[in-house]
Amino acid sequence: MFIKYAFILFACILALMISIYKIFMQNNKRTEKTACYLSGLTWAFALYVLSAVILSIFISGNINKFVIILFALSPFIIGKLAAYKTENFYSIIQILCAVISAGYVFFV
Amino acid sequence: MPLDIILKHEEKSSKGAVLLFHGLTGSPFELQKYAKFLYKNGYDVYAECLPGHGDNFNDIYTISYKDWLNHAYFKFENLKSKYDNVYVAGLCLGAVLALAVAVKFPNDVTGIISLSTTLFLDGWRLPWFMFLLPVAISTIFRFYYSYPECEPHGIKNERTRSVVKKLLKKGDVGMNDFPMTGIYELLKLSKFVRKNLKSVKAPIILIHSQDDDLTSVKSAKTVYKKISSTDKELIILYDSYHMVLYDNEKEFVFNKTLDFILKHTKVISNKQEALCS
Repeated sequence: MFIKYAFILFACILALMISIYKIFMQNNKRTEKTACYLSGLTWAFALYVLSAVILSIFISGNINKFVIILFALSPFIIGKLAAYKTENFYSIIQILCAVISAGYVFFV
Repeated sequence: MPLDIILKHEEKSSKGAVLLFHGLTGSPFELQKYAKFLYKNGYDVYAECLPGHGDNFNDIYTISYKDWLNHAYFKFENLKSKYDNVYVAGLCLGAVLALAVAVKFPNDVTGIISLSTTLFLDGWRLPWFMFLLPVAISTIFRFYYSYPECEPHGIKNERTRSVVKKLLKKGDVGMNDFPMTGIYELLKLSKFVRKNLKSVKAPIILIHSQDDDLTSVKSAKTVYKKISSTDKELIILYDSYHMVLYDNEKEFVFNKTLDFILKHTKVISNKQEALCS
């Protein structure tokens, strides 16, 4: 199923992009390169959520549907819980969430 | 560096007080000329730095819109205990805060001066990918990105713009960018105010530029339509951008708002005279 692999791809891209930002780019927030990179990261977030929503329609089983919707909402839930001082911790949670969701969908 | 502006006349010679609020990532410096103008015309003026703004630019990441609200409420209550006439005024975020004060104290605010009210971020300067903003500010992403302060800096007048550019480089007039967390809190405050606009009963003057680069005239029109005030005026400017206190029509804005203040100060004085007699 195309949407399944699209979701896995977007989840991996999201996890990778957040990791790269946190490791290499965080201290150069004001450069144009970082701004371009971050606009790409927003797209990654948007595509991850969108593909999860579409996948939840096509995937079989109510439990699977529920889990995928939870993954679709995870960036917003994590965003709501995060604060300036806990940002690093929640970034790691977001990366893990993206990786776990990719693995889950791959094996379903 | 002390940023707050407090201009007070000697006791009993003041006609009233004006509480000014600056914009997002700005400082009371942006209200300095306007504050002096009001002071010269007989009013005590209070323009203090909002929470999260000031010398430490990282503070803005840690505040919530409720901190701004509490600050505004506290300052207003404090002034109301000292003056009969207390006006609330502001630019951009400050205008939204002035409205929030009028929501909380509908019978105590003498008048509201709302300049470039920012209820929606929909100005022409904003980039094409702004439609992704809801995703960006609702996720962890909002801690990563700061939208850079860029041309035209809210100013149509080129001479003023170049001066502001130099000051921004020095860091004298505020921050060089808008952190997403700040925008997130501004939008939450705007939502709160939008929901409660009906509670606003005080006289109000709204001034907004047709070509505002940050927030379109829709914001001012929404306020004008939804408030309960019977004494309301909406003025649209055609030769300015967002920073109406510094742009081509600044003198018009200064005089128009002063007329508004003088008009309503007189009404209250008459009431007091009538009560005394």
